[in-house]
Amino acid sequence: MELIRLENVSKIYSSDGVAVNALNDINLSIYNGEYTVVAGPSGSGKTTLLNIIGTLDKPTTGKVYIINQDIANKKKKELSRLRLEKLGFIFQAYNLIPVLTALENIEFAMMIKGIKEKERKDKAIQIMKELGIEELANKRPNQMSGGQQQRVAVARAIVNAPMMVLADEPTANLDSKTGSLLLDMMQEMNRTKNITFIFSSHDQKVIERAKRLILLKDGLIVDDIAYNK
Amino acid sequence: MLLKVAWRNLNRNKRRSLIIVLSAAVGVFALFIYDAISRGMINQMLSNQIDVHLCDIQINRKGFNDDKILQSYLSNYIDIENIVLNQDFVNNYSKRIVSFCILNSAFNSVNVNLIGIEFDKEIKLTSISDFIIEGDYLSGAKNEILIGKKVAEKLEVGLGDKVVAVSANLDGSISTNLFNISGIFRSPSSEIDQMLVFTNSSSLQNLIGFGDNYHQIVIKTKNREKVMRYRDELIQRIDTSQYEVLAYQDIIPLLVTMLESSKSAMVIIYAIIGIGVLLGIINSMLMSVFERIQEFGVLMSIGMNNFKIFLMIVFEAFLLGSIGTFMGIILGWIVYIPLSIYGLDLSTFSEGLQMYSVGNVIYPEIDLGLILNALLVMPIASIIGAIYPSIKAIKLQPTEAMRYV
Repeated sequence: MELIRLENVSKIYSSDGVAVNALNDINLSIYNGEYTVVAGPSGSGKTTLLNIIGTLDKPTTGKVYIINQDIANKKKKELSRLRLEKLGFIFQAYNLIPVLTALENIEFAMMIKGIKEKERKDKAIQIMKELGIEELANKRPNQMSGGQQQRVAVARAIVNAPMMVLADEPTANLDSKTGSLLLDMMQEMNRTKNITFIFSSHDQKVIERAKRLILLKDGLIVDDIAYNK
Repeated sequence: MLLKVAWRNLNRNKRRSLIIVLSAAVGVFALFIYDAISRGMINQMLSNQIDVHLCDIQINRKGFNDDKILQSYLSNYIDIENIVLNQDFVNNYSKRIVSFCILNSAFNSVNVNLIGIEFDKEIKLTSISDFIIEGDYLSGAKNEILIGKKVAEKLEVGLGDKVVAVSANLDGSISTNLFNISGIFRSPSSEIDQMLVFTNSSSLQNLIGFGDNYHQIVIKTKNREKVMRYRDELIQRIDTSQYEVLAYQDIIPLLVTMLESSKSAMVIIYAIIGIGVLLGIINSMLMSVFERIQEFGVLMSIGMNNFKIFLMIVFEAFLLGSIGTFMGIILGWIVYIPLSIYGLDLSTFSEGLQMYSVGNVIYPEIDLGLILNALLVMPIASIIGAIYPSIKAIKLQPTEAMRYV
């Protein structure tokens, strides 16, 4: 099933009166269950592409469809709801809420969705067990390592059962071993739960695991390779 | 959970939160104590005037209160007395005669109001007997007189001395008589001390050739709060073409207006303190919002809508304002309780206070309405203070927020 479709998407940023073409006439479809990596050098437009797919940013021109719905006319509130119900986000800097424990950070995503306290606590504990991070439940972000924080961030991203997880350079701040463990975890979720993952990365470990690799350069897709893995 | 997050957010910068909480607490505390003292002082002024001399209700011949003409006496006081006797709300009452006279000693003379009273009834009505500093209250003896300390000083007389009262007679002639000073009082009001002297009604009736007449009937009611209602009840029963029924509010409107205007002043002080808290909270919340812009970007990214972000910031401000208010009220009570029991001794300013009919010791009085107002006003001011920073936060685009440095 087609989850995302981008039609002639361009994004132009204006910086100090200078127009910068971050994306240039992108046409792209993402399908259910994909494990896609958007790769390319710095400034190639990887993060901009992920932000547009994740409805965090709007294209200057072109159309974005999420499950065949044009998001151009959607209100801010509707986009929030869409992100909450359909998308999960993993950031390079983990971005957990510093005043909440790991368990509460995972619960928080469900609280926003309106899930009742008992249910969200049970669900958060369950997902922490699945990811093998239950010992982190009562730790705050400043008491955890980068790898531990990123695993909690993954749990937060998937706890609302999104159709797709967008991970922007998830291993950039992690050492090689921790990064590999995290990728194992996400690959496993893709395989067992059929969660669609889109990564932006120039980390070779991430690229090697891609089922589909989209190469960006200067805001253009220069290659789109599907691997039979 | 939002409340929990808001609470923990306040703990991120404990010093800043503490400063805001303390500023709200100090504001509420100042308001609490200021209101309690001024309320106590004004109520004391009012009750001193009423208890020492005026009484709750006066019934006079029409116009007597304005010109105090000797001839304006109650032509049939027995009928009025019967009406008064039949009212449930009357605690005690007494009849009086009022005459302007010149009081002379061997050394000096002063103009005073010589009040002829029914000493045995008046003692149940007024508190003048509590303020006698030398001698005794009136006993009913012929030509005894009770004078204020200031009058005694001016006349250079003391207890047991004699003074001559010179007054107009009912028929227009001048009468004089010799009075024995049986007591000297010092009331909380310098005006009463300087202007009023008391004698038995029969002695004054003799002096001014008044027969068995009286100028007024004064009433102490069972509930001072309802005095206006009682006045209206009396008006319905008394011939108001001949007589006037005056509540203390009608007799001393200035003081009553002061009491009312002090309430208005409190509203202004509320507003000033509220604005102070408001600005402090806006400042604090703006700093807090700008420190967390990236975090708001993340919250928006994971699907938190504007209303919930707004609510979270408002909760933070509400907690700051509420804790501050609560602390201020607790602090206020801690100071207020001993003050209300032992009073605030201002005897150093005795002379000045006496000019305003205030005693040397002020007993602060608290109005529960004030506490309720404070409990509402400060948290509401805090919420208002959070609106601008909240709007700043929710206007951000997730991507620009996350890029914010």
